[in-house]
Amino acid sequence: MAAESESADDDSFESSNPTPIGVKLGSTRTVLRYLENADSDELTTVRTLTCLALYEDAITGEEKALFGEQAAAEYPDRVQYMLRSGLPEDDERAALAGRFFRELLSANGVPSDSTVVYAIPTMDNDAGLENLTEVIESSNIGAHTMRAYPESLCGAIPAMGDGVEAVDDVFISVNMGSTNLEACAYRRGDQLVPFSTGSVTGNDVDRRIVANVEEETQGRVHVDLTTAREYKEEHGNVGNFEPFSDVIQQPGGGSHEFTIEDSVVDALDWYLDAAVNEVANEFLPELANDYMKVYQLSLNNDVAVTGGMACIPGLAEEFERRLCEELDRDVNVVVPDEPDLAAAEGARRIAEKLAGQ
Amino acid sequence: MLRPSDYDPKELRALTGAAAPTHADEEPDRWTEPDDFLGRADARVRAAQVEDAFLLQAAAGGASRPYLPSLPDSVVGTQLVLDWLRYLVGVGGRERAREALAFYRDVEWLDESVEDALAAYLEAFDDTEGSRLSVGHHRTSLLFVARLAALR
Repeated sequence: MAAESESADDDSFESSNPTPIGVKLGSTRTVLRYLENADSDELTTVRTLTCLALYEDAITGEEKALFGEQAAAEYPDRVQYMLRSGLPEDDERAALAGRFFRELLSANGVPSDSTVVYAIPTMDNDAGLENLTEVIESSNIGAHTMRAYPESLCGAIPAMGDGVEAVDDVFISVNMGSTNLEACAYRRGDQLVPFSTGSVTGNDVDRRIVANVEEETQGRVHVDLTTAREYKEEHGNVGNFEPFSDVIQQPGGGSHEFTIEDSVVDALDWYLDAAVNEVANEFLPELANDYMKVYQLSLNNDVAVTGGMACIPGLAEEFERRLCEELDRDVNVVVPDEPDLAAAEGARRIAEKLAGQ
Repeated sequence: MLRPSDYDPKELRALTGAAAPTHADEEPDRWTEPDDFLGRADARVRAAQVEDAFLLQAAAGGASRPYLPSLPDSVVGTQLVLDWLRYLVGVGGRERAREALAFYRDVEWLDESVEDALAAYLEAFDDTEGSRLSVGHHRTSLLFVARLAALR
């Protein structure tokens, strides 16, 4: 395609539109969504752990970097999750995040002539946002246009339809992330009463699983947070959980097999109660207080639930059931097909509009 | 700085072909829905609001009668006064709203000067048919009184 567009005598309209890209730089995972080329409908999804490990090349002595799953698997001792709190908190983490993002883009050959929309969590943290902006601006994508939109809006877009219908709607979006629970009402694109709490998160579930496993095995097994997250992602299921077994090596030789029956389910149960409480008793009263009519309209509409926690089978359905019970009224929850990719996909759809304008 | 909350909703609507918020989406009727029509979920919300208001009032030094000796001298206060009167006129019509204000003065929720000022504001509202004000409506009025007192 590049060769064709360079042919001076070719008077056909070669596609010079920038590639629309949706990006979510998440605390646990980073997701990129874009069309590989303008002529195909094939979407490219890059989904990787947001982590980086630096190591020294044994021959040249040069510092090298590994990112994502490979870094986590090969260098578990020195891998760094630099967006653990959602945003890069200091210069060091910002530099690491910048390196991670550049490595990721170069490894996947993401086009630089692009229109990029970033889905960013709504956090009251100017220093962190400043650092994230530096990370974004130090990358070579988004040469054409760059925008940032709230993650809860981007995530809701694929949940509410095949296009960008959500922008023309009045609805509530709940984003269940690793580092925060975000809820927000949107009225035809206007963000109303953005609410965010760091006290009900996917990371809290992981921490509870660690404590529960220790208790369930009577202190014989201590798992780290990464293992707890894997238990949650691989075995977590609300309403249809099946006990599973794992094996650890004992100090001094031998192995110990143990079965997990309640640890994951109890942690998810806590999460659901806490999330319903935050939405029903913190966010919704605030919304009703400021925008009574939007409150009523949006509860009659679908409530979009997105984020990594919404990937757990049965969780969104149970959230709906408990929210109905707490509010004593019917509420309909909708979840996008791929809740963990939804924010990047929504961002991509906005980027597509921006690129085509 | 790329701040997600600073996005431009007008640009977003233009890009996606979405309609701008219409008058129907606005909030003019937010206080006119009688409590009787509210479900339990909404009643819970209202209860939280009442609690908030009394907390505010407690923070302002406790309650002594008349609860509202004067109106707050601020834009927010004036907006709240207009919201309240719109609510009263919306529910009961102008005459019943005037009677309610007199009643509130009798039970020492309002000072006489406040009643006079509010009654003067009433003239600005279009009259409606309305129905009798119930205990629930007076409770909501008390909420407005508490909020206005907290704003003074």
